Amino acid sequence: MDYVATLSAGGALFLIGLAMVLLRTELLFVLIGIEVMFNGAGLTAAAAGQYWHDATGQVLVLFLMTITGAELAVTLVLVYLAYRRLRATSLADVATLRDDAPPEETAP
Amino acid sequence: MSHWLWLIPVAPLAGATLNTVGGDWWGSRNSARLAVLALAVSAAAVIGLWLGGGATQVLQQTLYTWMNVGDWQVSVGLRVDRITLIMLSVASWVGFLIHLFSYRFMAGDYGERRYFVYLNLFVFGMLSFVLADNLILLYLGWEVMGLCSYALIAHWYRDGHNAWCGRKAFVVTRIGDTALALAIFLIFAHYHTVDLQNLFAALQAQPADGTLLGWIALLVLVGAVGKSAQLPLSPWLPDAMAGPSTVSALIHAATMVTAGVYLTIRLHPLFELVPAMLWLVGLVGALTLTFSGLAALGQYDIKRVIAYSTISQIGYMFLGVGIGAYGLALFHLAVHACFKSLLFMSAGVVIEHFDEDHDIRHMGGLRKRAPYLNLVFLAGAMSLAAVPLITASFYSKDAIIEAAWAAPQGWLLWALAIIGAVLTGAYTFRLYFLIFPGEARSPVKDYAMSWSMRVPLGILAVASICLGFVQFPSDWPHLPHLLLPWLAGELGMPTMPQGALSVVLMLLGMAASLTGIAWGWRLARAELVDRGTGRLPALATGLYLDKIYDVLVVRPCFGLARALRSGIETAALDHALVGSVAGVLRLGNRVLSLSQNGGTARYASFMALGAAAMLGYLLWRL
Repeated sequence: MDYVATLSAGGALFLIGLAMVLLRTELLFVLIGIEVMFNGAGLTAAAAGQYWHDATGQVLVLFLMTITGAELAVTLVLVYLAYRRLRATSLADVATLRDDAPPEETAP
Repeated sequence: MSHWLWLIPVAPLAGATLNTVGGDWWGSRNSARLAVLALAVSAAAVIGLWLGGGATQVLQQTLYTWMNVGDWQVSVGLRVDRITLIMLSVASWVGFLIHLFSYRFMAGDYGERRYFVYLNLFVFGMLSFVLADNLILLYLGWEVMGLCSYALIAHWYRDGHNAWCGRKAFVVTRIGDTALALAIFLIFAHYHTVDLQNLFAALQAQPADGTLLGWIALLVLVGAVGKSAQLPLSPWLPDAMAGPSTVSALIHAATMVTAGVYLTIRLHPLFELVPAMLWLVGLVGALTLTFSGLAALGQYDIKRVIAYSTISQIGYMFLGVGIGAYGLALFHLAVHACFKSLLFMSAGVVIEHFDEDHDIRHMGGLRKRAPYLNLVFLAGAMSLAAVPLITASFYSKDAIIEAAWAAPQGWLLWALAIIGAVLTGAYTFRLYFLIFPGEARSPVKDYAMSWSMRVPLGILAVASICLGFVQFPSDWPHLPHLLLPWLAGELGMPTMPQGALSVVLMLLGMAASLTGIAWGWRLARAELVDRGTGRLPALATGLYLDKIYDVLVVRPCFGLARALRSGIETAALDHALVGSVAGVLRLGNRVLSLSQNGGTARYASFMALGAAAMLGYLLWRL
């Protein structure tokens, strides 16, 4: 079996997901990007398990799917809350952690 | 009995600790009861010590090892010999009587529990100072006393002046404490021991060169002078009268201020190796007793008169030590503790009668209103003035004056001491005649003394008259001579003038006391028509001693502090050091703040870059 193709597909998925996370602004698309990155990672893990003839890779994928499900549930709630509380659907609207005002000069 | 030595200092310590922890819970009256009980235990233990062999043999108990460094160790060890036993009896019994008196006297005071905690802690310090068998434990007790003295002088701290007086006492005695610490360092550096018995053995076996011993003795002397308020470190004691009268009685008359005398007596083997220093001790005492006798004549505050008389009487004790009459100094110490605590406690009641007015010009006429108080105060005053034959002080103080003649340059010490004796009679009876006889010059309030106040005053009055009868002058036949021969094994017998000279000196001493008393009567009458000694500013200010220190020490110190604050602190520390550190930190904050723009995408890209960098580094390393 040609692992190069599988690994390339995994890497490509990961990079596409990363690009979505970094470049898209809508919250839901960022979530989709994260899911794509998870899938790329899972594909790579399964391929690596096959390469070494080891079941660990497939076990890892099973774990990954479970965690992804849980993570998705939580993040969807976060997105929903961001909409309800902040009326925000895009990342630019939730920039509440910005450190905009520099600290005032205080005499020693 | 030697297994129970620990009980003597630990009982007051336990009282102080329990009252600190639980006093809030059981209330201040019960705190007072517990404090008195703790002292009763100590006093009873000292009685047990007399009966249980302490009077005939040396008792020793080592509780535990305090520090252990290499082959050198300091233990918490207690040792009772005859000097210690006298001092223990004074500290515990006078302490107990004063606690008993305070039980009613301090009732309802706003700091009652604090007062009893510090009073107990003070007695613990005094007892462990007296019992210590090594210099480190001795120094611990010495410092505990200093702390409690500060806290009790400033007891009524809500008046700022009282707090200032406490600070003054603390700072001035600290000079002496530092000197004593340096003396202990020098002793350790040269003899490699702090144990008193080992030190005395080493002093006998290998006397060091005179210069070193001279320095050690001088530093010990400065320590003793600071604690005992002798010249030149005396100005703190008159101001220490800001505390309650019972505190003055216990700390600033009976026990702590005599600690310096006890220290020099305890270390007399050291002083005997440097006779010049020993003579200096006597000279300090002689000068101090004359100086403070003069200053006492110029005071109007009843407590300041007694405070200066304390300085003067301790001067006599230093004189006794300086001429080698250690036994007599210890004798006078015990007698002085009785009559001076009596005088201070009576003065407290006198002040209550005149509604917190300390000025003796406003008093008078108390003999009719308070006959019992008049009686005990008169007993104390007669003992202070050393009325011949019938008072204790005659047998202790006049013996010191007589013995001073036999010392080197004895005429000088004797002359100062005899002037001091005249002054003592004068200021004491100026005080008595202004307070008790005649008509009241301001309204007298009623003040009912309970039995717990009358009994201690009565006991002390009897003691200040009768304590002298244990030791009559040694050439008087068929009368008891109990104290000096009993102490001779440790302190030796004092050298007294012999034959006709002795008789002449004694008669002169008697004449000095009686002259002083007669003069005191005239002074009291003159004071009422505003022609007394109180209007002389030189006497009233204590011979300008405070002003001299103000110019020589206090102002230069404040000036230096101000210069350092504006020069070093503001310029160098604040602007240069603190400013530059703060500038660097603020710059760093601005740079880091730029990266925190709240954009999640940028955070995510930082994470991705970081992860990529770490992976790259791992791949490159492998």
